[in-house]
Amino acid sequence: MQNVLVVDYGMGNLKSVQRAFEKVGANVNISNSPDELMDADKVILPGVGSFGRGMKKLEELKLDSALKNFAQTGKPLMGICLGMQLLFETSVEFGNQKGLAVLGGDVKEIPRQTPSGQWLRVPNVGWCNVQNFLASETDNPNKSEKESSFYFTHSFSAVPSETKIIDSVLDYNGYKIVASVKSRNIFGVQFHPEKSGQAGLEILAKFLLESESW
Amino acid sequence: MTAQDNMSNFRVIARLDIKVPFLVKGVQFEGLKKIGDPNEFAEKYYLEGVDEILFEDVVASLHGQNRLLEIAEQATKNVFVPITVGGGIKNLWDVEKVLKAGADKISINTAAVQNPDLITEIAKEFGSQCVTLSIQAKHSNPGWESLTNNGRERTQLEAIEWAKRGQNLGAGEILVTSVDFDGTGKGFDVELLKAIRNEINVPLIASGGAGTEEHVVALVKEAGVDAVAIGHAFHFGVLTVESVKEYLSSSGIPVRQTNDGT
Repeated sequence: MQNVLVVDYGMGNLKSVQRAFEKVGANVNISNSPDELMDADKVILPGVGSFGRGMKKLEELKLDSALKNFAQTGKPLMGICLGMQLLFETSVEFGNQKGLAVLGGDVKEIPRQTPSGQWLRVPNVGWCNVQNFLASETDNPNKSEKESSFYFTHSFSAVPSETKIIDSVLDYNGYKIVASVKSRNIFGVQFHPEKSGQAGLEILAKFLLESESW
Repeated sequence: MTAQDNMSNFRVIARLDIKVPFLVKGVQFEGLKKIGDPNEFAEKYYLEGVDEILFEDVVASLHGQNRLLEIAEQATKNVFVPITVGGGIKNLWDVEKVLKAGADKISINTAAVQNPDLITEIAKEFGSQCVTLSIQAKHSNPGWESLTNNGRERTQLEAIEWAKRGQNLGAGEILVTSVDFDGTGKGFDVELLKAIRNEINVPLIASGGAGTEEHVVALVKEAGVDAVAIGHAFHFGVLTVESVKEYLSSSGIPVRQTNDGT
């Protein structure tokens, strides 16, 4: 049985995340202890709420440095929603905020209007179809890759500095929003896999399985 | 802007009215009939592909709240889609308890009418995405009046204005139940919903009146709502999650597909 530690920094639907990982067979420890975090096999950073608040809470608990150190160990680290955003360098939510800078790039607002003039609904709340990034970049109209639908609720999204870490995207009325990222031992999802039905549970199961060989 | 604008899928929500510990259903907010175990029904709908679960405590007595929290907590064990809990939520402390029990969002009506700033307080503390303003609207020539206390009390608050104000105060979504149509299976109050749709940008959820799949399609095409909450029709098997989604899909309205063998 795999062991995961879910970080409790006072922000996020811990219970749902715990239940979802338990559903796919993991043993879950919820903790706010930097020491326990460093000892964990795999760490999950959930998060619902604002970036600045999230960083403040992590700093108060000294979890920010623990997470940065954990990321360096090469052990698997997964960020969910705000948790994924916090992995990046900065965010513009309520002013300029510094993140954990474990991944290169910044968190920006989803624009209300795209450069090409399309209106976007912000926040993005609801079920959106997500495509594999590389598949989405090809002009192949016969994409056999099935799209999965996941539950999103956010007004900001990550813009990685290297596109090579983009794993999947969502086509938001013509504007591409990064839905998931992967870089070495770090995996991040903008959506809520613990709230995305069977498709979401499969993402968690896949993370547990594949991270065994990272 | 609606769910049809190439952004997200239209959502089908199962609405479970609760008189703890039972799932109940009333017709036009008069009289409650016990139907069964709320968690059993919630899990059934989840497995059928429902996009969200809404638990509403329609009696909301002080001593019932713990049982409601138990129901929400139990739901998190096998239901992996967003869960909203409402009914009797009065303050930040109630919200915190509900979210800790496992709910993702709360719905609020009476307490918000009594103290509109509560919407903003909850949004600031927990985020707008977790606050759904629930409006129970009854025709009152002209226009519609909002009712509170599960349809038992009048307020003189005009429903459309209240929806707009709720959005401005920080509500992440607006849930509109037609008191006139609820439980009748005769369709939705499309005029009411169209009027509200014109005033708000946040997601609009329609509740009350579903009887046929066509009612739901008409709802989307005529009123541009983002989601539908169905109770009565699901509990009595008049409609199923699958039949509604299939009909929506074949009518050109994007919905989350779950019949992919997983």
